Amino acid sequence: MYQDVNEGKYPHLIVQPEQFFAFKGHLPRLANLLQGHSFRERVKRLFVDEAHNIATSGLPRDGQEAFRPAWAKLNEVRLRLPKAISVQALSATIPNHILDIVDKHLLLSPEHRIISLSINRPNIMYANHLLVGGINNYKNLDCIIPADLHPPIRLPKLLIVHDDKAEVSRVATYLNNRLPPALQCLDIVKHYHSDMSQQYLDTVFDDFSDPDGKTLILCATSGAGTVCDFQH
Amino acid sequence: MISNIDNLLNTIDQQGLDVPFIDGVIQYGICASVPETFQRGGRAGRGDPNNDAFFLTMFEPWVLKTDPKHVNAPTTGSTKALVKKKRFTKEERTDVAAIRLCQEYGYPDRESCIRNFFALYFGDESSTSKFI
Repeated sequence: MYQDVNEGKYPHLIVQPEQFFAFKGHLPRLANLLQGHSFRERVKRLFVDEAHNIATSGLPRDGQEAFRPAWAKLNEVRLRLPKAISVQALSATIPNHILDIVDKHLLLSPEHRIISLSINRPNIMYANHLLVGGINNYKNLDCIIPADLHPPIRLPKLLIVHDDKAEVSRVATYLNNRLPPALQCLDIVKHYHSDMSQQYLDTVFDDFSDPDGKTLILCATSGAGTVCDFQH
Repeated sequence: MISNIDNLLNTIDQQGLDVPFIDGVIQYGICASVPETFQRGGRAGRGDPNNDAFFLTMFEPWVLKTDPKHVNAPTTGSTKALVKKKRFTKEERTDVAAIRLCQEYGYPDRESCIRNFFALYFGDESSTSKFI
């Protein structure tokens, strides 16, 4: 396949930053191709999706090492490619100070244009609320499931995001216990975090993604949403 | 290493979840940075732009007691690293803009409108981004 890639059989290549750099002394095949003049000359455009990652994943933060340092080395890739290629950086969440980092990092031409749409979607309402009595007082969530739940009250489809896996399970149990006994075994409230098996995560995720699914309230760590083909 | 893998998983996923028809997202406990906060809220109300949805951040009492002048965490994306330390408490990791968002915004007036906060933070100057 890489022979075909080298010869330009595929007009688009979708790749990860890590594929450009040596890993434990081994050079990935894409990095290898990039060493060849003919392949480099074939590249006409470079698109960097989720470009804020250059700063947010590529640079060290809070005294911890960068999660994915390859993101902050994309400038090396840019430098190896022909100077005249078009470069586009895309992001849905890029504050100005990160835009500056991305701009400098990708060596964007001084004539580059910024095209931006409003980030605030008109159908979303925001609110902030104090957790009365602290984060362990789950009564703060009682409003989700009314004490006298009965038809035709429809429960909203909710995603509750937590920092802590143990808290995910406790809150899911707490909310499930608020349902009338007959509804407690219907998978209406589910917990979702990376300690659960892949099979469980897939089942819950598929059901939650289905507009007619059983699960209405998903308690998850910030890792929710796993299209998680990630081995660990 | 484990915690790095978890972090990686988390970062990937924040941008990955695209479930349609979520009526609301509740962030239980303050989120450590504004971009993360915004990404999470962005999971709500997908599928049909005519369906209204909400994003509610429920924050801990310590947030109100924190003096933003004394927050040490660097703003997201800044290259300033904190001193080497194994593990940071949530209070130490949360950046100043995220704290201000909970302390000063979310009251029913123009000055503290959360939409305005996001518009300002992300440098969004379009007419549809503001107070409605």
